[in-house]
Amino acid sequence: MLRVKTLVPSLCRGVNTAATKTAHHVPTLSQINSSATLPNLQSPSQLAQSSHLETLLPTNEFTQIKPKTKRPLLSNSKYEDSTYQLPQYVQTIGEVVIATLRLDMDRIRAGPIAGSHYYAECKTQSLQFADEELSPSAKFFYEELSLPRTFTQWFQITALHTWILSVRMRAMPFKYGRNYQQKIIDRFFRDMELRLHDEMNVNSSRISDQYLKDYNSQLRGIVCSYDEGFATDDAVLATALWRNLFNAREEVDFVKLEAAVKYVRGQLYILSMMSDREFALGKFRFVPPQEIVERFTEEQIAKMKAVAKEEYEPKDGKKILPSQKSKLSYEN
Amino acid sequence: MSTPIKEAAKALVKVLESFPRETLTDLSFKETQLDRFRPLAGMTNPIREQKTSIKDIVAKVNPYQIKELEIKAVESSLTDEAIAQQTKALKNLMSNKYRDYYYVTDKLYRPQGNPIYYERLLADIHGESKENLFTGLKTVILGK
Repeated sequence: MLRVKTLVPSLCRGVNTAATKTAHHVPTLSQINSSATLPNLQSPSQLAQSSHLETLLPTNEFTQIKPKTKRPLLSNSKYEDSTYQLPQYVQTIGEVVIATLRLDMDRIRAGPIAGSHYYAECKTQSLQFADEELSPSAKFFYEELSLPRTFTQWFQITALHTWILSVRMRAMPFKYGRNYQQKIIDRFFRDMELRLHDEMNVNSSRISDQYLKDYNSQLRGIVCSYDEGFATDDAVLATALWRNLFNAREEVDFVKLEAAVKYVRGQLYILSMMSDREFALGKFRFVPPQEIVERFTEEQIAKMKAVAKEEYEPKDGKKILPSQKSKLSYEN
Repeated sequence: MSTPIKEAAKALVKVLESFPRETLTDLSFKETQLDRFRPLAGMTNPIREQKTSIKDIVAKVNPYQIKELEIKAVESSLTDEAIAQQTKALKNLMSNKYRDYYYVTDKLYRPQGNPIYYERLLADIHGESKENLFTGLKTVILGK
């Protein structure tokens, strides 16, 4: 049903190796043109809209998302309701348990932060239903980048966002970063299974399993090709985005491709500026595509570090609840 | 065909020809786009053999196949100005402006949890070093 756009590294080993003579490596500071300026002071959204090329977006009744019952953003569980407040006595018991058993909160936090908070962040970026108006970020993807409003496209956009987060998770200490990655991907597939059943009316588990397997192999390709693009250059990242996000469509608009590269690089830049502690506590939000990401000045960076230090540095007389303790660095 | 469009398309084809070729897959952005713009520039596309893989045959008879929407660019909007803008976008991508402006430092390029991750991946993709059974098993068991 779905074409797999890229191959997993183990399958594609040796493809076109003769053509590459130069050694490929991750760019170092010396190779970077540090005086690089933004080609134009436009947000990704403005850049995409500035294209003179018009794209025809056909609609297909069959591929529209028109659920009879809509799923909640995360689940029906009261614990995942944004308004839910844990009763005070349960909180106290919890804090005592954490303190006496000396539980590793960084490990435990992976579930609620990566699996629920960050996943919701990725999911809402491109969530859309046929009879509803698009959110500003969804507008960027479906209208400004001219992507079709289908379930598979939603998967592609959400996979892109989970990949962006997983790049930052990789830079956390291995034990914790890997746990965060695992939690977000587990949640992604669980949610897709439920969405296929409830919202896309796929009632046969055999068929939905087949779809999920396909999505899984696509995700491997996505991670591999985006990683390659991230670690090499913009052109490679652009082709990876073309193969996956733009579904390898022939009549693609290069300005829109450029806008997508700008969007991805901007998000990664913001992530690289966050300390492990801030990121692990769920402080990251995707920058809306309508906003311009500019490079931070030295003073701004110093100010951000000072704010983080003020908030997280242990001080005499400053009480930290056992559940809020963390071993992750707030200075990197 | 009017000349300004032809000239603009020629410039675009020239930029496209210096675009890197994909290493991961046979599906090539460069080839596809060259095929698209060469006729506009008054050049002919090379004749390629049509390869049908077993996957295509299976996809044809699969009843659950999702039909992909055909998204087309409006032909009348493909003016010389639009083509010049497309060329500029490609040039921006080729000059790595976004990578350099949004330089993420070694914090992300040599991630703390797995510092040689990208080097190993790139070396494997470009066939410079191969994983053997032992290193492969180690990655699967330990995760890095």
